[in-house]
Amino acid sequence: MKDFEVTGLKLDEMDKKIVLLLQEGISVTERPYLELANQLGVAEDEIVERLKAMKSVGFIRKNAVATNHYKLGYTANAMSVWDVDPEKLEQAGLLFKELGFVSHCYERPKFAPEWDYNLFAMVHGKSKEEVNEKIETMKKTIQGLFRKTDLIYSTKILKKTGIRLKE
Amino acid sequence: MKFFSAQNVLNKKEQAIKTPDRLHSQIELTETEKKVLNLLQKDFGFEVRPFEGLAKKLGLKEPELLSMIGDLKERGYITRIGPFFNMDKTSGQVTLVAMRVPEESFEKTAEIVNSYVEIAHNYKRDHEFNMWFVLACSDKKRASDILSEIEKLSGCKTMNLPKIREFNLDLYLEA
Repeated sequence: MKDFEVTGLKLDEMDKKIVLLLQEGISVTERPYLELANQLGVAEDEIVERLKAMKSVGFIRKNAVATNHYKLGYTANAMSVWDVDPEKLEQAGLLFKELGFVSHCYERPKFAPEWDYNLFAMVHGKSKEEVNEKIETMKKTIQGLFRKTDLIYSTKILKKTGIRLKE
Repeated sequence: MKFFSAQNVLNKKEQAIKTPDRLHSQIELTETEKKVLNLLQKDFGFEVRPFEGLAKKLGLKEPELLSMIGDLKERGYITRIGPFFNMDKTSGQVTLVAMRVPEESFEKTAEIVNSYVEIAHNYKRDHEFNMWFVLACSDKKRASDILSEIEKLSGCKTMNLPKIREFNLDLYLEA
């Protein structure tokens, strides 16, 4: 994925270089943007300001650590899918968000005739029992708003490189 | 690389927590390390010197926190630290695609799918649709071209499910 444009912000060449160089993350040092600043020939403050601008338009969600689910003991990772009336979708999505434990929740299209679900919600747990308990809570939470649901566990990671902006 | 082992310095009295090995997972984290992982999963914003304030919040010295983060990375608990970019705010397309792949050609199909740099991740799932991957491209045209190619090479249909609306995306896994 290259030559992308960002909605609401004109990214110049310097911004794009910063984005590409930060794909692997920041360095774990007292001043994590110093090396980058030297490399690009600008001040650290400028890097920080540009990153703040990218965050203000939502192109950056957060500056944080990503963890390995499995190492933290979250071995049961399931995608729950729900068939929800289109006019009740927003209500259902927001109720799931409020629960706090649903990490990703999206509306996606149905794909007739073989796919009849339009709300996707990822749930992580330290065991299948924990995930199943969470699913029961979700069913109660959006009771009356959905027709049917299914739970799809991942059984193997076939690839996990993340989104590549270069190449 | 490590100039001192953080947990030895910080937690002489603190016992590493060991939980029973349930599904081949092993959790060996001190209470301080858990606090670090939990705090750093939340946005720490952009500052020239971000770890100074974070260390203060955790009751640590800045070098102690830095070495602890380095150690957690080395041990594989932290996979990355830095900005999370939101591709929905770009002209590119990020979509979820599912396929129904016969078991006998599963491996070959996975190879075909994974060969594209635009495939960000791919999971085998316990369902009639047994292969689910995320495709990220600069534009829709490239996305549909790749899906046509995959269909032609694998002989399996693809089900393209682009995101319509996002209600939540904040993965926080309490350590």
